[in-house]
Amino acid sequence: MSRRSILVVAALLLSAGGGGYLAYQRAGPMPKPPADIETLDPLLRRRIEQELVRVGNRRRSTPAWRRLGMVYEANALYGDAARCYEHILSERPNDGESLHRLARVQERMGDLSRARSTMERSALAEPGYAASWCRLALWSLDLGEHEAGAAALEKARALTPDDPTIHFIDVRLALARRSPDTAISLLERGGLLEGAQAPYGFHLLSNARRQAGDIEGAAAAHAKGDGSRLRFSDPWTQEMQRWQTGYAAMRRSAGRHVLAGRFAVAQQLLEQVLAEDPLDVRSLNMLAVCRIEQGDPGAAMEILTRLLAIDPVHHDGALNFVRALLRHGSADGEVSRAAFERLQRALELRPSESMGWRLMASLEEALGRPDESLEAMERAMALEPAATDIRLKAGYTELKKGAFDDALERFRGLKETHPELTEAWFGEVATLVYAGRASAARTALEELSQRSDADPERLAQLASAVAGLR
Amino acid sequence: MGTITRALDSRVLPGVAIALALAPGCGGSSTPPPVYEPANSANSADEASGSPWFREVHEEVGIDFVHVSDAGGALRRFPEIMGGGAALADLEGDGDPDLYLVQSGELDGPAPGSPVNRLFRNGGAGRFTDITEESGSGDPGYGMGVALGDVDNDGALDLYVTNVGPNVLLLNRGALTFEDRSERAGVDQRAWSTSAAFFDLDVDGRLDLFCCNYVDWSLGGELACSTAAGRPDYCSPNSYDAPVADSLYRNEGGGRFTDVSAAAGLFARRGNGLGVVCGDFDGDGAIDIFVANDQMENHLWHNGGDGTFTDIAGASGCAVDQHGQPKAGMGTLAEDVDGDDDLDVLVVNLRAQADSFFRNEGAYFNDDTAAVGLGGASRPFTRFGVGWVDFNNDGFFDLYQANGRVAISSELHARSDDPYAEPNLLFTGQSGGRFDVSEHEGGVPSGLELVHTSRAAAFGDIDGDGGMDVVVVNRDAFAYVLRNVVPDRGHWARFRVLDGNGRDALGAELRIEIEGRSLRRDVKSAYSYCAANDPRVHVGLGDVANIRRVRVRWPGGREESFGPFEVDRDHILRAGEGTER
Repeated sequence: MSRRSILVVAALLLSAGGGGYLAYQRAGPMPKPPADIETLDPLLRRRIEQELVRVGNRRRSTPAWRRLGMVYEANALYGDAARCYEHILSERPNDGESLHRLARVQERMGDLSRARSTMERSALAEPGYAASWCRLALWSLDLGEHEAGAAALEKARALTPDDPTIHFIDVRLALARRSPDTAISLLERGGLLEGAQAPYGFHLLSNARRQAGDIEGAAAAHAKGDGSRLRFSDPWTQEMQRWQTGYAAMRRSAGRHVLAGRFAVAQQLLEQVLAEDPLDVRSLNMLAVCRIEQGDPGAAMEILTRLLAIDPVHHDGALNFVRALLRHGSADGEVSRAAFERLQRALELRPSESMGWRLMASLEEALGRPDESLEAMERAMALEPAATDIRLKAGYTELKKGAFDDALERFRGLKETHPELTEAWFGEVATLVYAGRASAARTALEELSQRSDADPERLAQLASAVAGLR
Repeated sequence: MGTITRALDSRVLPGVAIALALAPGCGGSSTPPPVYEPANSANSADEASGSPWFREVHEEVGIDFVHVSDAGGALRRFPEIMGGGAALADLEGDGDPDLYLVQSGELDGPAPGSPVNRLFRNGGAGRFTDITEESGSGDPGYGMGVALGDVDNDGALDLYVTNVGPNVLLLNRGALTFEDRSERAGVDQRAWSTSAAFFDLDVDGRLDLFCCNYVDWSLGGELACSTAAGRPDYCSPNSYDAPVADSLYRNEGGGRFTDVSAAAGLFARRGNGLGVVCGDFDGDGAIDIFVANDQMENHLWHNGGDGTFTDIAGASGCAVDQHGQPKAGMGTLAEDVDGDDDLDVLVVNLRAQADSFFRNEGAYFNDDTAAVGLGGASRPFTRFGVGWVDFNNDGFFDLYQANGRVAISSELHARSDDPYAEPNLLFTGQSGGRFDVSEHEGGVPSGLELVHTSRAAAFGDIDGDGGMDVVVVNRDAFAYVLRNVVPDRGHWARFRVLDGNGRDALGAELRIEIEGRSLRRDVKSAYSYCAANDPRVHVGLGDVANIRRVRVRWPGGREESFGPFEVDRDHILRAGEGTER
């Protein structure tokens, strides 16, 4: 056989093999799209359709089915996700990753008993994956199975002994066993009341103190909890979350970027969302925040004007308009009046929101009405009795309007309640300077000079002003 | 967006120019033992699962109420998914409970012919006649719930109907006729109200009123919401970020109430209130208020005895669950489930969230949901109406939950014509204070006939046979009347407890002494979700054939003893007719 013939035969064989492989891949069940796919977010719909084509071409491909499942799961289409993972498991019953993903979906659908049993299978199939053991431990505790929880916890500990998650679950176990002293000791000695997960730690501390009969201590700890959940490393879940798709997902993602201070990235996402839905007031509001924070309050005011035309009583929109206006520093009378009226209306609807009163104070001050500004500050202070910044601001406002005794009273009050607050000492000296009380100013300046954290440059300015007093 | 704004709060003040040159840029306890364990009571799981406990009889007994949510427009309007209330109590004074069903109706405002609330008179043996028109009780507002109490001390139960819009006080003038006195009484508030409760906050002999308010919502400000996948759907309360304070009205007598919400301290906290239950949770003699909030911390308003209330839920351990999470609280209950003579609390929640069983440990609450067997079975459902009722009269509280989603999910729907429909659940109470879910979902035979989007569930014995029945209001469907058909129920007794004015003594505590043990049961009507229940105290007794004594602690702390009593019959306990302790 000539060399050419050999090549032709080889090519034919390869082609036949390839064709057979393709035929093999295209055999098997085809996933059905969600029944109401037309009602879904258009970006998500497109993504699902792409993944369905991919699976259609590779029906025996576990990664293709898994990816389709993850797209569904990441976008809260749990029933559809479960069907994908179940399909994989019908062919590979011990696929630890698919079992893990199915268990998460079952949990989100509310069937915790079945989720726990599936997660147990996952952990046994893939015993080196710590997150499965952690979830198994937590879910067992949620179902009242303390010993099963303890056993799963030990498996996780053997894999990642230094992971703080393990210690948090230890605390949960101690609380389930009504051993508050153990729980408190684990929290305090394990450093679980510090760092990013501290709020969760404080919640557990609150439970432990309550169990120990310390109700006041429980209340104090409860105040430091913020409803955050226990977070732990779970790469499979993180991989799934990457598949969040659609305008709602983009908006959520933009929100995360805003909170992290990545305003330019957030702005890009929000502009895409708004191109699809120009009436989306939440996105408009967030976009305005991005513009304010990027130093363009004028653009923010334009965006917020659009927002408030759609929803005239949008609370955050009204507040942010005032913020933008204050940043902008100038506006015609009509704009200021409109901003003032909207803020007033917002405060009528939610009189116990201190942020609104803070903004009102600033706006009144900018409008040259110090008495009204102080009145708004009093409302904010009543709502936030521990906030020292408003009290300082009130002192300076009194000083600005020439009410020196009132300013002194405020600064001295702050010095008493918050002696660590050097700014209150500065305020006192500045007031005495403006009031022309030379002797008292010298004494106060001397006291201020003793403070190690006093800014030397401002001290020097004050010293010069005091020296100029007779 | 509220979060984002708040996250930026701290940046505001430095941005404000201050014109001064010198200013800067400026345990150990175990599960309590069972109350008692009757020798032959029908409390085992095997027996419980033997046959369904209820038979649905709405047609047979003459209840033809169909709820109308007004859904179906292009924009989903939030109240459409929340409403449907029920009251089951003796409004006529003939000894059997009548039925008042709260219609939602038309959100844009009632028009001639719009559906209204309906009153059905119980003619005895559980057969009902519609007397809405002649009774004057057919309020056309967009209804949510109802509370019951004798506000004018004339011995007849009055109705307070909560609406999306002005609430309505219907005074019972006798012979099942009602008069709308809302405006004159000063309780016609316009907030979106849900569950409400009458109780005597200051022990002056007049019933005061607590009213849960849900969200600061208006038709014109409705939002277009969607699921994470973009499907149009109902908003959640968090979409509006507009929680509101609840309302408290002091009964001044003479048919007038004063809004004391601010003076009482209620404005200190806002919430998305859906469920309320009153009781003396700390044993200090004053009646406190527990409020289940949707997706926010629950409130436990401790009655200071001087007209003021303080929210102690956070400190006492019933604001959030064991993970520190506020849940979507809907219906709520308070009973002494573990037999240690104090009131435990149950809150039912949204799908994928467990119920919250807060065990009262005397000085605090402990989230013991898993320990009582409620950690798993109800999670797949969104629960609203709820009752701890002893259906089989074995001496242990059973648990009924009326369910229905508030959001479309991607799982297969139970009914193709209602994506929010879910089966209800029945749990049988076991010794040790545990609950087992019945294989008969909702205590009825399997099938789709009784799977709807359920909201209020009200409890009472409609046919006077000693077995507690259930009425469930279903969104855009007929109401269930679930007759108790538990075979071989145990003995029972029922007490109507009347104060010196001859009205149901809401808040009175009964200790029912049997065979050396004591069962605590309180007189109350307000529990579940948007429901008012028969205030008579029903107690299951298993094989116990006589009641030695009943001790009553009246609101205010005075105690009297009554008895002995025969079982399997009704009794009346009147203040002043017992033996003073």
